[in-house]
Order: sequence, then C-alpha cells, then structure tokens
Amino acid sequence: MDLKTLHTLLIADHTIDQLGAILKSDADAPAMKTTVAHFDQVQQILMNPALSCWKEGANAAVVWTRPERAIDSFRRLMNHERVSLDEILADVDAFADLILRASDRVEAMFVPTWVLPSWWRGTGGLEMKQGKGTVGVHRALIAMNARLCEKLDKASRVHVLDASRWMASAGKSATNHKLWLMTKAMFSLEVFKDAAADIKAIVRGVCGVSKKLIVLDLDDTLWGGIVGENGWEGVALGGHDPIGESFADFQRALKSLKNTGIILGIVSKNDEKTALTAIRENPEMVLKEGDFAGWRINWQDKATNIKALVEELNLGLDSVIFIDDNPAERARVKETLPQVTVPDWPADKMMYTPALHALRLFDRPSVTDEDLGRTEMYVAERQRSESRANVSMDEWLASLQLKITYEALGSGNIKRAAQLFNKTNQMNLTTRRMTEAELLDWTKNGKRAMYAYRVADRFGDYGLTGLASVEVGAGGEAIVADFLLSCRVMGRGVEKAMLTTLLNFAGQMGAKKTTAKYIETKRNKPCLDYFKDESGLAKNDANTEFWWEHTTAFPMPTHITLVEGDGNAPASETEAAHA
Amino acid sequence: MANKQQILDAIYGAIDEVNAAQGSENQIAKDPKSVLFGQGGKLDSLGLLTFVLQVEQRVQSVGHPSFTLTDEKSMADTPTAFRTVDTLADYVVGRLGG
Repeated sequence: MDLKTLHTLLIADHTIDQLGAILKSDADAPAMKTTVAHFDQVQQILMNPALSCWKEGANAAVVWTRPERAIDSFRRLMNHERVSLDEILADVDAFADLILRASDRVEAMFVPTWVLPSWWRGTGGLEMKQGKGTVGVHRALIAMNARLCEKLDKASRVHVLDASRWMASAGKSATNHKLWLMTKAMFSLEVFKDAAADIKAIVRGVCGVSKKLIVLDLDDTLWGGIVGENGWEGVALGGHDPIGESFADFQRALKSLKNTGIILGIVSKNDEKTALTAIRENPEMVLKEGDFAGWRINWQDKATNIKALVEELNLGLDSVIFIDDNPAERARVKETLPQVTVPDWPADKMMYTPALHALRLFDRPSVTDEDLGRTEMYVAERQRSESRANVSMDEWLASLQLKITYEALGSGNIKRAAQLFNKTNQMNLTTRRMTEAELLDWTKNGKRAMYAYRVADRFGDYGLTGLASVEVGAGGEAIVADFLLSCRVMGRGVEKAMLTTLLNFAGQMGAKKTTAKYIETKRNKPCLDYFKDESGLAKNDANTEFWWEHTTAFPMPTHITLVEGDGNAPASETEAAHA
Repeated sequence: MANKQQILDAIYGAIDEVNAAQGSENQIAKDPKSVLFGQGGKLDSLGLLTFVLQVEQRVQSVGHPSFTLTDEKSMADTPTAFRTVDTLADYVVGRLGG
C-alpha cells in the first residue's frame, strides 16, 4: 500500500458520507480520496465484484454495518423472537465469508465491530443472560463480535476496528435518534472522527511509517521533581500519592509499549551517574535500565543528543517521538529536528498516561519475534561495543561466538522474511520487492534456492536478519538473485557465510560459475562496497558484476558456526500470539 | 431567560463540530455574520441537519432540556431563522422567551 494514493470505498447500511468527508479533510497522513457506495446495499456490493463501485480504483474499503441489518437472526432477537445463539453465529460466519471474499479486491479492508445505539437498553437485566433456546441481545452481540474477529483473522488485509471504544469516548452523544430518523446517520461526528483517526493510524502502520522509538526526558517526565536536587529518594514516583502513582502509571504504559517492540531511549539534561543511580536504585522504578535501548544524559543540547542517539540505534529521525514536560525543550527539538514528532504534553502530570494512549502513533499490522526482542538486541549491542574496546578485530570477532542458522522459506519465517525483503535498502544487491506469496512462489522452482539467515552471538539473538537467493541456469552459470542483510549485523563475516550457502547450492546443482550483478539504487552503496572490497569475489572493471568460479571451495569464515534450520518450524508462542 | 452570548457559544461549539467534516474550503467562521442557509451557505442538507441537532443538544445542555429546533415550527422558520449565525441566535433566544 502506498501512503500517497489511498482511495477508500465506504460501504455501509447507514449514512457514512461524513466519515468520508473527515477522512478527506483530516490533515494527518495519509491523504485520502473516498467514494461512498450505494446506501444500504452492503451484501450486494460485497457479493458482486462487477459493480461499478469496485471499478473506480479504490485500494481500501470500509465495511460498516448495523448488527440488526447485517444479521437477520439478530434483528429477530432484538424483537424478542426466540433465536438461538448458534443460528446467529452461523449468520455471522456467512457475513464474514462475504467480507473475506470481497477483501481480495482491495489492499486493506476496515470492519468496525457491531454496536447498538447508546440509548438502547433492551430488557435491562436480561440483556446478558442465556435463556431457554435463546440469548440476551447484548450477550449475543459480544459473541457476534468475537466470532467476526475470529473469522476475519484469516485475512491479514482485513482490520477489525473496535467501534465500542469510539462509542464510549463520545458518550451519550455517540448516537442521536433524531439524526437517525432525519438522515439515516447512525453515528455522530465525534464517532466518525475517532474512526477516521484509527483508520489512518492503521494505514500508517501497514505502510511501515509508525513510530519505533520514544525518546524520554527524566525529571518531571518519568518521575516527579529534579533528581539532581532531591536525590532518587526524593523524587515523586509510586507510593500512595496521586502524582507519584501517575508517574508509575505512565512508566507502566511505556513498558507495555516496549513489550510490543517499541524502543525506549533517554535524552535528559542531568548528571549521568546521578540519573542512572536513580534508575538502578529506586525500587519504585517500573522501567529498568535494560528497558532502555540507549541514552544521552548530559548537559548538551537535547536536539543534538537525540540525533546522536538515533544514529547510534540506526533509526531514522522520522521514526522518533520525543516526550518532555518542558515546553521550551519541546519547541527547540521541534524547530531543530522537524522530522521528529514532538507531541504537546499536558501540564497536568496525572494526564500523562491518557496523553500517551491518545497518540495513535504505534499501530502495526502484527508484532513479530524480532519486534518483541528489539530492546534486548540494542542492549546486547551496547555490551558488544563495550567488549570491542582494546582488542583486535580478529580477536573481537572470535570472541563473539557467532552462529548463523540458514533455512529455506516456510510458514515459520515467511512473515519476517517478507518484511526484511521489502524494507532493506542499504545492504541489498538487487532491491527486488515481493509479497509473501510471491516469495514462496519464486522458490518453488527446483533450480532456485532462497535462504533466510538467523544470526546470534554470545550477547544475544539478532533474529532473522538476512535473505539471499540464487538461480542456476541451464548453461551452468548461476545468478545471485537477492542478497540482503540488516545493517545491524554487517561487517562481522555474516555476508561470507551467506555467500557460502548460495555457492554450495549452486555447486551442487552443477554451476561452474556464480555471478552477483549489482543494481544501483540511491541507498545501496554499502552493498557495492562490500562486494567490491570485502567479498573475495572476482569483479569486472565497472564494478557491476562479481563472480566465483566453482573450481575451489569458497572460504567460509572460521569464527562462524553455520547450521541448517527448518523454515517450516512453527512460530514461537509469542509470535503466534501477536501475529 | 436566555442569554444571547450563551446561545452564540452553543452555536460556535456546533460550528467547531461540523467543521471537522467540511474540508478546508468550506469551513464556517465563528462569526455572527457567517451564512448558514441559502445562498452563500457552506452546509449541505446532511451538514445542516447535523448542525441543527448539535445546536439543539448544546442549548439543551445549558439549562433548556426541552428545547427543540426540529419541530414543525422550526422547520417552517428555517429559511429566515437559519440564514446566519446571528439570526439563528436571535431565533433561539426568541424561542426560549429571552
């Protein structure tokens, strides 16, 4: 999906034009064009791909229905006819199937959960009960939404949105029965505004432009008061004081983001030793030293420190948000580093946690194992750098105890492999872009091999960080189709281990010569430098082709242990839970 | 007794709300002279009804719980009463007996 060209088709059984207007006029990315499909023709539109609304170039769709209209058995239940939950759920399954079939026509489909009007009370106490052969209306609605989510989980491009949160946020004014009677608009503008913001946040996540790093100030941001003046024992944090509790609460919210792969860093004007002592010694600290990927704690300008920290972590400034209680520091960073997102921050310290939740900057389509272990990887990297001091390069490489596992593509690695394949720019020989399905399809030819590489050393696990492929032609010449590696593991001999696996395959398939052809992009010069200066391959004068004659074995680095793994091994429990 | 400024504030709150769906070229200024209905008006029929209900809710919430702008009389009076922010404020004050 491309952030520049989002055209969204709005399909609903209630007036939804105002959602379209908000999506179009809202200044947050992505800019959107919207088309409203014929009113109250949801089933027909979902069933029939030949309808004109599907031919107008929409690459996203919103399917927003009222439960009593989409599910006829539920309408009868609302009238207190005797309807079993099984019958209702069967209707939900059929409706979900319609959505799944239609989802192939767009790159993203958004489906808000079913809700009832805010004024609807039904039968009060019976709403959540199970009766003889029937069920309470609200109880049925909860089961319907759970079933809808379960069914739609099958399609990664379908995103179920929690409409009940929008309703709760708008309160009594979420729906207005007069508005419904006069315009057939089910929801208020407040609900549509929340819906539009959530849709845009998810699109940003799908496009990979959500934020990755939160840079935090310390005094009056992570704890109350000035640690340099009061000592760590004197700051407000935790305990039985509402301000102290609010800071502990804010730290818990940050830690929960960190647990989903968001990286935390510190930029603070403080004495480093004093600040780190506070983090290490204060028993009320929810965030521990190991929760921070890096920090710059000194008396230098914060914008300069943020830039240095972001470079150290190998991220882009546009993936960063900076949180500081001090408006002057925020203004300075906003002005100096316009790519960094600097949210206005509440003066009321008890409102920090709601302010963090309101940001809508961290949406992602799924959470991978690599996401979950990201901070640990940075901490391990810090330890690696420390271990590098005062030893030779060879000694340092040997001390790392590098282990590389290579595996064919399969169900256990395809999600991360596709992510890496489509995002890696610097160490990338040909910069092809392919979907998960296209990658798996490409490998079906027996003359081709594509390997994913997992890298680990004594400090930790980098996860799946490399991909490379080779195709053996009929004339005994093999071509390296892809060669890409995360910059986090470049320069440690991993590249040579990758070449070894490709050359081994090509040799076994009868290749006499294997060639890597460099395709230049704006960002892949590091790859050229590697092949030109370090790969050990022969090269042409133009430095565009690099090759190995299969007359001798390619020298595998001795400091690396290379093992073959299984790409079809099931994803870990954490990955499955978050995928 | 209705205070005109209180009613203007309610109308301005409603303008803030509907402006979210108006697009940059159709924003309604929070000004007594802003045209709401008829030639020069920037609200379409859905927008106008949404706006009317917003004003109604806001007037109800400032101490006039039974106030309505969607009865037959109000609908009949729309062309003149809803012409501008100022005429609407006067109309609401009049209906409230201000």
